Amino acid sequence: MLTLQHDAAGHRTHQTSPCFFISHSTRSSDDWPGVYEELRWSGLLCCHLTSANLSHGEGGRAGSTVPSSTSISMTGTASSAQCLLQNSTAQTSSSLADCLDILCRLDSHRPNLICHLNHRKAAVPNGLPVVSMRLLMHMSETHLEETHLEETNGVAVCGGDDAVTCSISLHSSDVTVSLSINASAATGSASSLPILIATRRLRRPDPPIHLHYSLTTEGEVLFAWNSSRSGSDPVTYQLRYSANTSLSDWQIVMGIRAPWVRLTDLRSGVRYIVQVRCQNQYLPESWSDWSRPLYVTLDISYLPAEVFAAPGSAVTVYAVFHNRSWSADRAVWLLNGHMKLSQNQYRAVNDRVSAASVVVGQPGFDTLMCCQWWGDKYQCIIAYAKIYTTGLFDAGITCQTNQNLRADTMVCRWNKSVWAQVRFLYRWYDGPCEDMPGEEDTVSEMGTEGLSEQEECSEGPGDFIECSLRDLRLISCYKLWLEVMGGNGKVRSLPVFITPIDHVKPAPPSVVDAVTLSNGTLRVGWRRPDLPAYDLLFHLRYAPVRERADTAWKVIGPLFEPWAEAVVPDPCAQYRIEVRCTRLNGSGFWSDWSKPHYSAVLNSKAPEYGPDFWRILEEDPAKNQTNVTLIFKSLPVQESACCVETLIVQHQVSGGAVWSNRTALGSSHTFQWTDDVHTVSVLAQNSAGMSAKNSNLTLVRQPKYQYVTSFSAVANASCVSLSWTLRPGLPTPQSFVVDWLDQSQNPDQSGSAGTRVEWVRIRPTQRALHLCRHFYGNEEFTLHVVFVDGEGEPVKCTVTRHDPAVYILVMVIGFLSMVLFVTLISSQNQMKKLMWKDVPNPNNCSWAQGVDFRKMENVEHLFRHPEGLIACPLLLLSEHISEAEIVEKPRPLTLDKDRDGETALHESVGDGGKVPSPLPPLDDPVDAPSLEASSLAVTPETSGQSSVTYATVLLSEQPAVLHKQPESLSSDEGNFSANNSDISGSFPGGLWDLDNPQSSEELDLRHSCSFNSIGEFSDNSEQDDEAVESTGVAKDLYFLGTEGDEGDDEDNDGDDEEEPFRNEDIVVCAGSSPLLGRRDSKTSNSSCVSQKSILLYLPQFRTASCKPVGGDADDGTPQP
Amino acid sequence: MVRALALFWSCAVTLAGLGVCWPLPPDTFRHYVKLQAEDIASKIQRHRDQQSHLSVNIEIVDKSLSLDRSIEGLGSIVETLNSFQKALESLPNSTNAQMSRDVGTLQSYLEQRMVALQCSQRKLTVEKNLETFLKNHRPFPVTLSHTLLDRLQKYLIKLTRNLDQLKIC
Repeated sequence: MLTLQHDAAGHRTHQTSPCFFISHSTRSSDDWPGVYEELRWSGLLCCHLTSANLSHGEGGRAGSTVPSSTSISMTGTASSAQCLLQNSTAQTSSSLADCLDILCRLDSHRPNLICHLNHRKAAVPNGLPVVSMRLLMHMSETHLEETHLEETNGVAVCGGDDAVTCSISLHSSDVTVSLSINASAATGSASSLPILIATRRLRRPDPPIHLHYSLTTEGEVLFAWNSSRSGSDPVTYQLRYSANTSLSDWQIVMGIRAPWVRLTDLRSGVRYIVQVRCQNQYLPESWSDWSRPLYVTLDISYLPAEVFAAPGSAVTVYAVFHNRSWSADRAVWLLNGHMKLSQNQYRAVNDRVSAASVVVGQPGFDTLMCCQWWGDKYQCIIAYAKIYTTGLFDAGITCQTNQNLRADTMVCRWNKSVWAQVRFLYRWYDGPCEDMPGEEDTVSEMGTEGLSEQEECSEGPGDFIECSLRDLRLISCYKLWLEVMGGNGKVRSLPVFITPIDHVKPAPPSVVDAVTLSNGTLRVGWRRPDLPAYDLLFHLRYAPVRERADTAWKVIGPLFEPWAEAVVPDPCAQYRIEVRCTRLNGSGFWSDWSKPHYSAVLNSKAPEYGPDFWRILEEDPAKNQTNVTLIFKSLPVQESACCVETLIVQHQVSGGAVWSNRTALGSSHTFQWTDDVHTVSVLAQNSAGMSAKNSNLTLVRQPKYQYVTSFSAVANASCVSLSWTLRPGLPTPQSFVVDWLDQSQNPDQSGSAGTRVEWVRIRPTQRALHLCRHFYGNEEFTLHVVFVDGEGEPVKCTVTRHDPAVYILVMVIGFLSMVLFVTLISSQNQMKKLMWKDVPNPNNCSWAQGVDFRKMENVEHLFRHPEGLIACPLLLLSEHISEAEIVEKPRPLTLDKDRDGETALHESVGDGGKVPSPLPPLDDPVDAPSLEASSLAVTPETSGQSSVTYATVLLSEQPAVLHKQPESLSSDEGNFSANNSDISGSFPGGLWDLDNPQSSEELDLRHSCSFNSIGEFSDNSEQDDEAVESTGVAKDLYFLGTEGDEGDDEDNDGDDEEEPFRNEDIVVCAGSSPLLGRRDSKTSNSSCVSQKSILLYLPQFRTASCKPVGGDADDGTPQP
Repeated sequence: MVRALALFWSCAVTLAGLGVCWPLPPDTFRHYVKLQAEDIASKIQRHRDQQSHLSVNIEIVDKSLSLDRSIEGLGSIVETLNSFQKALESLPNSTNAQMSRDVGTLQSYLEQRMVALQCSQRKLTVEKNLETFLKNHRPFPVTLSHTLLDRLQKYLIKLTRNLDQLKIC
């Protein structure tokens, strides 16, 4: 028998080789998992019939051929058979043998094996044998089946003379059929060994299945597949792919030995169709059909496409771009479709691969999408990478039980990622949750008493966020959790344990009944829901119907009985009432509020009076009709037991028709007036009846009389006085009515004119009306004379009053202007003060720390320029300073005459004229010891930038030099004034203080002017302005200093000539030069103090209100 | 008299025939189609607004999804709606299930119209390409649903602007 063995490599090999010959062709079959059609096997069976006991002997084996691949084998030993199979193409080796052609094939329509046996007649001397043939088919394994025309007991015997055809039905794809042939003739008989036909090897293999692809980080595409069950023993595969659907341009990869192949030449963005087929070792020329097509479009692939990671771990996902128009440099990664990863979280591996690394956080599910950035858009594909963070995540599962008579249900809701596809799972346990077996118990003790199997929400997996559980067990404990399903695993949520009875949301109370009693009590009753059966507590809320319910609710509760009473302010009002309930003891939900119920108003008797009302006529010329709108006055206060619920408008026309309409309180009523005479009555109604005393109004087309002779109005600010006179001799009217339009209401928003009309009914005896309310000044008042049977001719009067608001507005504007003006001036002064006060105390400056300002050398040292140059101005260039110097000289001031300008200046000052300003600077120093005093006049130009102008004030009887500092006083100079008081106290030697008891004669001269403190200077700056304007020099600021150390003078070049004057050196310059630096005494008048740098930050300033120098200054009287 | 009777009967028969055989008036039919299409489109928009899975800046590009079809008569509309309906039906999503039912209703409505107009009936099948596309993208229901609903909304809007196509088979 031919058997198959496996070699070391797993390949099957033939141990023995019977002498068979097979041929085959292929055609598909639909109803069998293999392809059988026209797979033919043919053989030549030669029998030795010359002797009945002729043995097969060696000759049979000697003539056999061994096909390399066969599905036929023979059983038994060759020595026992008289018939031997030979190659059909080979000539029989024995001339004594009768040979039979055997042809077996698989039916194309039915899974049948059909065999044909034909006698090949040979030249046998003994004549033709009588042939009988017997077919025996043996099913593989346990199946035995025989078929024949005379099928009996599983054995089919097909007989015939020269040709026999026999078939057998195959019930499986893997069947072995045993075929044995008996031949008998006159000369004898012979039989063959059983021939086993394995159908598995006769048919073509099935195509491979599960064709899929995967990718590598290098961008290669791996296609892989599995062999079908019936297509066993494949040895070779072929794969074909096409870039279009026409199937005309296939690329075939041949000679594939493994069930996978790597392709590198696929183009991105192209939709490919990929198929694979195989062949087995038995039928090397027979290929399987092509597999089901795999459609592949390579855009972006994720590696891995699905990740399971522990919390806190880093996950790296690669995105492979197959589309060459996409680049890793333009990649953008999005977490969960919304959150863009920062650029340091991803990188470009190469042009086609981008990698993102994220650290996963809490357990749950996330997605990563790799997109391309195009302008302000991200272009993405449908696929995304999935990241499952293992552990139990918090899904926030909450449940609410709803009870009704038909079925109890529990609706559970949860939170989840919108990207997660979840399953909602639960188990229940008939017992308290504390006793519910844990997970380990349920695993180890399956079938725990009272514990259910795991069940799933009927909705199945999906992106649901709620599930309704039916067939609920109210007092059982439910364990509920979610599972996020992945391809290779799952992530679960934290389970929650819920007893449905503790999460019931009751139905709202029903049958609400409410009544407003006449004593102002609102009494409400209701019926509690039948389920749940436990005790409930209630909340009641109510609001007047006329008000907006959402803003005027009053809530009463908790209430333990199904009724309540509340005191309401208006016993006649109708209230909207709603009730809700919840569990009294234990957990549960509040019910919804009940449907709104409107209270009834309890009345013991009908209203006595109907409302007073007036009418508004609106003519419609187009339709030639008149619309009448009735507007009602508020009802008079009735008795407490009587409330008006509605109004009844009764109509009666001249034709006799009578009808009535119902209208609500507080509204207007409009009807069409068509008849000549139309009488209207308005009745008040409640549950007890209608009012008996009602007002009437008769409308007639033509007014009865021209009754009013005059109608005038006088208006003041808020009141209007109306007066009228009547025509004498006419009947007394029923009343007067004055109406006007209320202009405070926007006509576009107030609806009909009726809502804008104000009216007043006046007794018939009155002839004047005084109305006090807010009027707009253009009201038109109309006086109507009302009779029982109609109205008189109305008269109008327009009150035109200029709106006092205009005058008030003008006054307010004027007042505000004044306030603004004063504020500006005040702020200006305040700015000045702030500016000066903000200048720091030099003692607080770092550079002045440790310097004793009482020693002049220290001061000089501070401000001495290291190179002997003139220091830069400390003030801004824009600042403008003029100085006034009071110079006391022992000799005539002859030198000054050398300068024309200065001479003129001296003359002018000496003449007692006003201080000129501005003045040209004096460059020459003063020869004689001089006393300089500066007067600072604050001008408008100086207010902001402390542009200080100093004027030289010459003492009387002495020549004086006026200085006008051209510019550039340092802002530091402000320090003088800001800290004047402090410094003056600590440095008396540097300050010419009025209080200094050591005043010399020169001091007395200086006292010819009055001095103010610097503070006064600042505060009185306005006064200074005025003084400047009026007198030129109103308050002079004296900048005083002394030369302390003569030795210092010696150090100064060019000062020697002035040495005599130094002995009387009482001159202090207030100009900028002394402040800013050193100046040559010969060339600068201020050099007298430059070397000393007199008190740059000392309180050198004094203000003095002086009269003109040549005048009152002589008397030495300080001016205030 | 005879001529009057003949005229009367001819008119009566004509009117009776119209009443029996003629389906909904064209305007009514178009009105309901437009109403249903706009209703579905509004649901899609509301779904997108309430459950925004994706950033508004994201644009899903997938040229292999062959649902951008032209509107060429009732037959093409029914075929396209059938594809949408089957595609939505395949997704595990309750919202998509409702959309699928709505689209199916509209499709059935149009099929009835085709019968009334004696249009040739086509065998409705889902294209192999679409079937494969849906199978391949089934692991990504969120973006697939987003894409399908987006395409469906655009198609329905296009349908409401081409209601004249409802007159032809």
